[in-house]
Amino acid sequence: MTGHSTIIPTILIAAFLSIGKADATGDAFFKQGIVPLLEANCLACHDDETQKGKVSLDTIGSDFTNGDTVALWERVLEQLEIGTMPPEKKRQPSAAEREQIVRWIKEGLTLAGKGFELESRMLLPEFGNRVSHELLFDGSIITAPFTPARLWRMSPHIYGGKRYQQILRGGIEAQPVSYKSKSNGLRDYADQEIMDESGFLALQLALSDIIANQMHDRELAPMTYGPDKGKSIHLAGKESFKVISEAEGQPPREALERVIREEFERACGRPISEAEFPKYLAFMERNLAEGGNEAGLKTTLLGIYLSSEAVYRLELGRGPDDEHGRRLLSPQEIAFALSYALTDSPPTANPIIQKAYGEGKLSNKTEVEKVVRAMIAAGAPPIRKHFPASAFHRMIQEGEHGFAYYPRIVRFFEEFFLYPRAEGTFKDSPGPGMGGRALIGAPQGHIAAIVNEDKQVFEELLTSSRFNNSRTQLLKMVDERHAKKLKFQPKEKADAWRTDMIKKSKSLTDDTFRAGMLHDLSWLLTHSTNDANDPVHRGIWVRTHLLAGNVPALPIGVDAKIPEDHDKTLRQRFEVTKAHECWKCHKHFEPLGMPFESFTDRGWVRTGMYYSKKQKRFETMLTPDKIKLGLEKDELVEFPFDTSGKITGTGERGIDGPVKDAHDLVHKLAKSTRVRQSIIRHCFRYWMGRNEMLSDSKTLIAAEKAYLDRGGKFSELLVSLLTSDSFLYRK
Amino acid sequence: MMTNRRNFTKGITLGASGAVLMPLLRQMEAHAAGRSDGFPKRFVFVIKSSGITPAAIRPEGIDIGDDDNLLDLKLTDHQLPPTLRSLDPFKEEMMILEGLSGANFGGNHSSYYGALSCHHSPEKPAAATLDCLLGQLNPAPFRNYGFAPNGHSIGNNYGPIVQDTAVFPKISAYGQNSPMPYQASAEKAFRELFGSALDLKTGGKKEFALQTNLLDFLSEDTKRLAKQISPEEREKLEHYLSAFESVRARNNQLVVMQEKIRKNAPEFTSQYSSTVFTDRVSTFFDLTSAALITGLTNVISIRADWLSAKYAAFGFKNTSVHDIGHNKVTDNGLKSAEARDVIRKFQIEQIAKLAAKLKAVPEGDGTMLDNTMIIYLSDTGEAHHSRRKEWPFIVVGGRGHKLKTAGRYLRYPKYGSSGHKTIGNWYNTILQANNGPAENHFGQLDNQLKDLDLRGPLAEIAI
Repeated sequence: MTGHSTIIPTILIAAFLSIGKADATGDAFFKQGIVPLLEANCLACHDDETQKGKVSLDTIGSDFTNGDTVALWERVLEQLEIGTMPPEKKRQPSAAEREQIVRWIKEGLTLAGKGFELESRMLLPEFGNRVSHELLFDGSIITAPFTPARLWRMSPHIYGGKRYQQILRGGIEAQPVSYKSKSNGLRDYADQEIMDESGFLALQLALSDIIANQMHDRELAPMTYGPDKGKSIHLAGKESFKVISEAEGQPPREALERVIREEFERACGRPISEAEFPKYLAFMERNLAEGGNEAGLKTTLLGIYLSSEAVYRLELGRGPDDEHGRRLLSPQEIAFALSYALTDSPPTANPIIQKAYGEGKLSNKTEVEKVVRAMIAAGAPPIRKHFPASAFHRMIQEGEHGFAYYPRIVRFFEEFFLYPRAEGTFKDSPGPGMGGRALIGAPQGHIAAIVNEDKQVFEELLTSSRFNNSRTQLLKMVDERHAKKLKFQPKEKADAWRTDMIKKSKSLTDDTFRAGMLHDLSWLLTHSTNDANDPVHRGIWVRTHLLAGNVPALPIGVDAKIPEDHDKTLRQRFEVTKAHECWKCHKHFEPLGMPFESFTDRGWVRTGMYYSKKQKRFETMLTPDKIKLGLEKDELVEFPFDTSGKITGTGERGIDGPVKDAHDLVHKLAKSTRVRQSIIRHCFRYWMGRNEMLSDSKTLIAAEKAYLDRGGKFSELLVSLLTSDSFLYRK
Repeated sequence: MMTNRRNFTKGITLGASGAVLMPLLRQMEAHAAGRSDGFPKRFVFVIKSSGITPAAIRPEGIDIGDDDNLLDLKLTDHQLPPTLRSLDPFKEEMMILEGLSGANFGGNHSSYYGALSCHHSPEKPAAATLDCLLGQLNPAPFRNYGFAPNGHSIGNNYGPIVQDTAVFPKISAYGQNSPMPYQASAEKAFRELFGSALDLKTGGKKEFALQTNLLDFLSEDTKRLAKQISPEEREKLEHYLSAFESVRARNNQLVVMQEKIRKNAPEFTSQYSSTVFTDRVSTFFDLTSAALITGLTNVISIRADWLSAKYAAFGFKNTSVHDIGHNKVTDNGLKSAEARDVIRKFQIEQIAKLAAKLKAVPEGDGTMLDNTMIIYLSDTGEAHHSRRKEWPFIVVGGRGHKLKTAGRYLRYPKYGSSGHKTIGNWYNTILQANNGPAENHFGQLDNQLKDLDLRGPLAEIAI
């Protein structure tokens, strides 16, 4: 921070925040509050004489009715929000000063009719980092945190958890609702997902099938494979449905009541109220009278399953008001919020929440904390979605269950690291096929183990050596497993298994270079192109996910293409980005992505760059013997192997500066305060279902403290977030 | 007049009010573009699995030589190969199109959505597919309709048996992450398409009438909730409300069409509940012609088979399409290529029958077939395990589609050669002829073909 920051006293900022729009955008305020900041921080390069980048702010003025002025302020806003101006070597305004100009410009742009655009942009996951990191964590904001009252569409996972369908073997099911968000990462944002026409139609189609198939008993053709091959299959309809659909004449009233009560609770996750009940009963009676029993029942059930409460979560804040004008969530809303924070099932499926709710103990922070701690202690069984193919990977996943296997916790790390996308990475480069399931199963197991151990979790995620799938490690696990097997299997069988595993493990080498998730095959493949490493997207990921940074959008009209010379190393091909107009953006991410040159584009650790004269390409899968032989025979050419890079933007001594390779990079990052805070910000977004606002500062600071005070416990971070005002209050 | 992508997507995201407005907007645009024929452009996509062997659909006596040059020949000068003979009557209004590639849209045995969207997206749709875009451009009560003997069930299914639910065969998508469901049950498809006008035991007129109750109930429920929430959140509910309104609008159209639907509805026979694979597929084709003739939809996609399908009727009781692809000899002793011929012959016969039915319906100066383009393709290019450097098509009908497809054999130079083109170019050609968004290229470009000019439609086919 520069000494200059004291020029604008915080009183002025406070004054700005409290005065009305007209005053804040008035010329007087501009001269008093904004011009001095421009003079101190901008005009040295951007006055009428210097006009660097052809931008002059000397005479910009505050007339937001002028189109040119509006366009120029929009550019200034962009630079300030993403932090590229003033340039890092120049004197920097304080975070508060930066925020002061940002807010003033936004007020002005709102008057110019751009308010909607600005606001809706800030709701998108990819704009989360535009909120000032410094102000979020420096403790200067004392506003009481809250979340705007909202509707939140059921996620595809929650939809699946409703269990409208009978549980059947063998059927391949698909999701009638899916995310539409453009974000690749965190995407279950309350603001971003809506139930629209195509969602409604797909849901209606699926539900019609599900309902129709449960109306009567069905005899199905025999199985054609499996243990029940040849046996005919009897599928019982749902008793409560059959009483109505198969009734001669008018079905008994109790039957109607039962279906309404049971199915309403299934759809909405809560019992129907006595006020609502008559409406549903009247609806059903009308349908039965007009359409007959079967069609009438079907239509009624569709009415229940497609009701707005069955497709949206309501978080309106129906509890008591407080002195800050906020409303606490009602106990029922809290029950839903907690259940969906960790699982995909409604609260009625969770005994801990059910008990607390039943006893009236979900009405304040202390009571909520008790429930969250009980849920963390109870843990969840491992999920089987990505059950890995190989025995090795299966063993990694079969640890103690623990809280790390709550589906929503597993999914946080999936969406944060994006590792499951490795499965869909298409590779043109030479090499064997990618084992999809193992590729995803292994990191999932490692992450769960780290979270369950619950010690310095972020540091471990970034540096743990367990991501080296080494032979030694495998053999150790084989021995442990063998000892377990001996307890319930005959010795010969257990021994045979051990011998087989040792034989199978021969293809594995002992790898020691890898450290943490960013060195895992899955992360590397996710962030690679079809035939090369991708230092751009890797660097952008590190900048945005670990350094809470922003990356300028690719300027319109720029054809960002790296030359395709196959006889040059990636580093050589990237020389083109060093031109000034490229480098001013590339410097923010490329030096963070280049250290991953320590790996081949297929994610294998390498020690050099070898060009095959015969194949006319860089070899990526050579063993040390083959390299030696190739060089001796003059079939391979050795190229310079450069894995260096640079960390910038943390402002932390010992972190910012050059790094020698991918190993050095992740170890330095893991020590950084900013990295820890950046991960916490992402946790916040995921569990609140929205971007942070400045008013969430207290929540974030408390979450970081909770994590640090107990030695890096992820569980404490969760407790802190799920009992925060941001989570519990609406406004 | 060309619609640019921005205007086009705006139409798609207008929601239901947009959907209702779309036909009108399109008519206006068509009018502005000087399109005066007034007959809808219709499409039927028939998508098979396990690849289409180019040599097997090539007319006799054609030598592709070193495959470096464009071959543009008249079909009438050549004999169609044996499995395509049923198309003989349509020789002057069909095209065999070879030599296009789609190498970068991979997937395990299938490119899935990629086959019609030109993206590498085996799991989830990355973008709208050609059929759905055409459905948007040529509106009807049902924007698109799909038939598939099997796929990922979105309702409730018992795996190994014949599928009787709506499914996602992972072929068509309205947009990113918005897959289009297909109907696997012929009975349900019959009810969905024609039920509104017929007295049926289930799913007929009576049930259709109840939809009004349902939509009223849901609207009321949603409006009740809307009163309790802030204006910003209310907007979300309005999207949901507009979905009801658009279903209501479709239902209203169906009510207006009642007489026409009753007249053209196919006879509901026992074949609709048949579990024989080939019966099911031909029922889908029957429903297709009836739905098109009635005007219920203008774009239909038929998933002709899938890898697990077993053509028991041809004696392949224990040999699946996948087994055949892996050179397993069928139960009745046919080798892979022979069995593939049998399957292709069956599929082409279905297309020929459909074409004949459409040709029997006069429309303007010609017939319905002139305004209907039937496109036969595979979901994975040229082979069971394909490299997709070739992706053959057979196009029947559609003479009125402003495309030069009548009576041609067209083969583009081989992958990588000068003049080589992709399926993206071909789809772009179709879209632009239908006033679709003017793009340089449809879908993802192939990195390996960066030296070729792949912009714009196919000059040989576009008018």
